[in-house]
Amino acid sequence: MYRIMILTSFIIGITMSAYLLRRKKIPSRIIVMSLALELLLCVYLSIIATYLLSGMGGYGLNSTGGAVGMLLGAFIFSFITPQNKEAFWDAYTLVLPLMYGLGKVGCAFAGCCGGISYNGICHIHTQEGDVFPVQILEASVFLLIFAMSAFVYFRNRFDPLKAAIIYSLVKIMLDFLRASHADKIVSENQIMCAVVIVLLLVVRFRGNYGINKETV
Amino acid sequence: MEQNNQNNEQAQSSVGAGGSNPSNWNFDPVTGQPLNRQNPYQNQYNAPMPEHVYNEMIKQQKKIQDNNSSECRYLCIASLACWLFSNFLFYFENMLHDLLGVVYDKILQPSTGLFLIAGYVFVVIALVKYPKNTFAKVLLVIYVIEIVFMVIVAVIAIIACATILSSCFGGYKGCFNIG
Repeated sequence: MYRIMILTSFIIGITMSAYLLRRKKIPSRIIVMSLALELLLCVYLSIIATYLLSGMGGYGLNSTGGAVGMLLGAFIFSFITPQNKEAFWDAYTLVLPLMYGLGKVGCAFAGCCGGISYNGICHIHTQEGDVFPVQILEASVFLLIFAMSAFVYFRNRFDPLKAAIIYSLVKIMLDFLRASHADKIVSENQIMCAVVIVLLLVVRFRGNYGINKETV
Repeated sequence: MEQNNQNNEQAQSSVGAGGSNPSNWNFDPVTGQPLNRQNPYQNQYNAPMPEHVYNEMIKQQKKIQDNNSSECRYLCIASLACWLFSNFLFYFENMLHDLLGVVYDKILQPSTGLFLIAGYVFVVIALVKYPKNTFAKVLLVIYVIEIVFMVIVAVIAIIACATILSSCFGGYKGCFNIG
């Protein structure tokens, strides 16, 4: 079920991005080339993030690495086709919470990325004891964030950099409820999200992300 | 003296007319008078060129320009070099591991994907700027085939691993004796 949800999140994310780019009248060949780049970067950085976090010991999938890959793809394409950079930033940032939420549904079935010890309401009983249902909470929160972002997008008020910063902040807050955060003040995921926020702020202040609709 | 100068000016204007300067091609090289040439792109009835002929002409001109662009050629060569290097790192894994050891395992092997992505970015830049270039189109086809192949292999590997593991957990004793 985990693999099915991961594949589903990729397919739905790519399809949604293609639809949003087609809506902005981007030529089909440009959309196909950008989607292939996004897929490559998302998978590669997701694997490399796990490789680096494990101390070059093993490979796996890391959601923050995948998100960085998507944003990096949008950044690269904003230089290749500067006339369409706003469309690329909007499309690839908007689908991030959707893909992450669907991936977390898979984690809920697989039992990975588990929560802290917790025996209150809605706890999950595992072999290690009762834990907090953090996967379901993250999936629900991010799918709700996606719905709100889509609403804002179709009202033409979507700012991709502000949205990406908000997604990272929410992920940092929810990381406190994970078992991997036990006995740590700051976890690796939180550090990665903080680095992403700093990089996005740098991009924003350098003005390379596109036109801010509120100032138009 | 003045007659010679006038003859020289006439000769110079005659040499200029019909010489290497295209703006003088509509003038008679001997007399310097304008020629009434028929437009070579118009037919004998002096009708305008059909639109599809004009569009095809523009398309061919663009294709020639794109195929002759040196910037596009450099981008495609860089892309091809990255593709060759990444495939070399992938297919000669054992040999490179024996030669380079830890340097290959820790640095070069994880960088295989990075070179492939860099090569792909080069070919995308070339195709966006020079969409009619044949070299770039061929390279893109190669990359697409490779990406599709990698995705198919990854999906098969995931399905195969899942099948084997579920067989083992079901108590099937011979799950590791494949082939």
